[in-house]
Amino acid sequence: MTVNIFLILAAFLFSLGVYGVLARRNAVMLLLSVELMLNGVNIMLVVFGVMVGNLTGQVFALFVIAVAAAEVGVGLGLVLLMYRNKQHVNVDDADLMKG
Amino acid sequence: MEIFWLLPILNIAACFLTFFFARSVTKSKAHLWTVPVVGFSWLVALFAVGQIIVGHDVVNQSKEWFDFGAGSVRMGVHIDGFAVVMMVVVTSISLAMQVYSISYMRGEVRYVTYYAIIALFTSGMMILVTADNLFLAIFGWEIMGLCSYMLIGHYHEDVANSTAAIKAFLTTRTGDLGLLIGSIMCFWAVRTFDIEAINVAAVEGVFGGHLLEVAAIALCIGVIGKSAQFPLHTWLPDAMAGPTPVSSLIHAATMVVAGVYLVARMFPVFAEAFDIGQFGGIESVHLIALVGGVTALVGAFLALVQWDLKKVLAYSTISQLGYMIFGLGVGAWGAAVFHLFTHAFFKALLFLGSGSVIHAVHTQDMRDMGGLRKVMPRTYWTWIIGTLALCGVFPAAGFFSKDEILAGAWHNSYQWVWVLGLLGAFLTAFYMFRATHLTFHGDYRGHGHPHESDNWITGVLIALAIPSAVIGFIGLPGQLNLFDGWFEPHVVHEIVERYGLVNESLDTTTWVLAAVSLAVAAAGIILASMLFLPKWRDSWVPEGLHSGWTTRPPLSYARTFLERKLYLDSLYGTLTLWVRDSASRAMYWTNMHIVDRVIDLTGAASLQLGKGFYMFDQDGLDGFYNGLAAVTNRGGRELRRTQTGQVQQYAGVLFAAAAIFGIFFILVN
Repeated sequence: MTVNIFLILAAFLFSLGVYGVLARRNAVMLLLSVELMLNGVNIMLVVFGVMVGNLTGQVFALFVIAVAAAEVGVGLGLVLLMYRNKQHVNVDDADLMKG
Repeated sequence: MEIFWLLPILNIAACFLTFFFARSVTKSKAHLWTVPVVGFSWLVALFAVGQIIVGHDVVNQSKEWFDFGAGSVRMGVHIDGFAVVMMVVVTSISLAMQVYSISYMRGEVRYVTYYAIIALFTSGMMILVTADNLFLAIFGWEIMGLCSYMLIGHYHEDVANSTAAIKAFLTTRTGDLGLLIGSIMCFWAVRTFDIEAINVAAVEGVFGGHLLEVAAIALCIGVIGKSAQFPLHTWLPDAMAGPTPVSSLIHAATMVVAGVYLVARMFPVFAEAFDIGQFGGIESVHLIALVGGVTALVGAFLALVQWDLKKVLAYSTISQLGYMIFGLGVGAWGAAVFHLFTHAFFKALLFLGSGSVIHAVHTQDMRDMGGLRKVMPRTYWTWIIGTLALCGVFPAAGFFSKDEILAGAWHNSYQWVWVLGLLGAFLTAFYMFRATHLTFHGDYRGHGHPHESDNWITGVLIALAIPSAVIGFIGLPGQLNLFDGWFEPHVVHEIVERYGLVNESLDTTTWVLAAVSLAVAAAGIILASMLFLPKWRDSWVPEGLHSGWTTRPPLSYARTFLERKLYLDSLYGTLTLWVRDSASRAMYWTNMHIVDRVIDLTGAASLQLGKGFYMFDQDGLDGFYNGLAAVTNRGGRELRRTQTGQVQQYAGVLFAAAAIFGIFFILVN
């Protein structure tokens, strides 16, 4: 039962993140939503790690946190540049790659 | 004997050294390069005869020359008694004529080239007689053909001489084609060019049937061309355009006996193909005996009417070659080879003697000679010895060899050939003494003052006169006969044993036959003397008929027929022209109607085919590629729309796909 509670929490966090990524227009909020998804996954990794009974899951979660930090660094840099060029951070307008 | 392979190479080396170096170093001493080499070869050959007599084994050395897939050609020597005898002939006559030429050719044009070609020729003949396979033999054979051509045309400033050279070359080439075809047939039958192997295959019957017969006929055509047999003999008289020593070496003693050598060397092949010695009487007619017999007679007839001293000898050579060929044809192997051997000496002697005469009187026409006996005693006496040898008068060499051939013909039941040969012997005695009387007896009819030739020339004549006189004794019938015992190859001996061929025998018949041919020769000599020796003729022929007794019918008809050389030259000329004209007409017609038609049709077909290809290319291939391009274009245009640049749309697709996969895996599990 305890495990289910954590898994439900993780799924909720992940879904919240997916919703944010798909629905929000603000680029900063997009990045925030990605963080939510990553953390949902992190909870799942830790829970399953405890369940199996070794530290692998927790170590993996630590790696994900580290990578997430780097990702946020790059992402915020992009957002900053976008703001400098367009004076806003609306992702709907960022369609230079349109074919 | 083991160093025999070296001798042709030495002679070729002498040829090249002479040709390239004698020119600048010692122009008038070109003979200093070649004479020692041929002299050395002569000593080696004589030494080898001794070795054969004391029982030396056959020497067989060879190594691979090249491989052409279906078989390999080897380069090697096969030295048995027969090869050694031939080497003696080649080296003796070559040495004699080279020494003779030192004086005879002195100051002549192209002296250096002359000696170079003689050396090359000598090596060619050596290669032929020592070769262990047909390929190498043809090699030597062709070297000789080339040298013969170059030497006949030695004085090529005169167009007639170069024409004669071309005629000789082309006529022998006609025969060479037969030799080539025959050799290739032998190769396919036995899978080797090795002469010994081909002979053994013929003896054992492995190589037999029609293939053997056709191969033998083809080889026989090569022999007819090279050995100037009827009907391809017409080149030999014209070949007398060359210097006289050349005639003695090439057109009397060596090259023209190459054909005889080939028949003798491959005797088992011919014996099996033509059933030599297996039947008697008229059934025994076969190509070799017939060609030889007819040639012996035709050559003798044609010699009767010649006024040119060298041409008498040339026709005489044709006739004597006919004797050798029919000697082989009747199965008298030893006798034929013996005649080849003795003939080389006395015919070379006669040619060199005629050269001495021509040198003195500066003409070849016997009507401008006469009475030379007194001014040229040495030439005269050596000539008489050679003539007696040729006529077959005891004890000169020709008596033994010619009589053994005739006796062989009789013993092996070839009586019809014997009759031809006997008639030939009569004519031989007649024309030789006609020539002798016209040249040496009576009064001198020419201009200028003839004189005896110098010691080089007369020395060589004397040196050749000695063997011409006495060498017949090495071929005496009985146990002492070198040609049956020591010089006969093993395979030939098997054939002789199998069919019971008689080479020689010492019974009463032989004595009677010898007496008959002696009597016939004597009759010829006496008749010739009564007609051409002035002292004898004047005593019984009416005054008005002294000259020109042959110009009245019916003798004049025969005479014209013979003087026109049986019209063979005209026939060949007309035939060649007719063949040429018809062939060109036929080729023109073929060209216009068949070749052009074919080409036109091919062109039209190509055009249609090209049109088809053009349509296929335009509509088929281009259409396919254009369609492919259109599809790609359209597809690209449509797919572009999915690329909106909207990050969230991409993310939606990503998550949707992930969700679909997730559901899929859940359902599967």
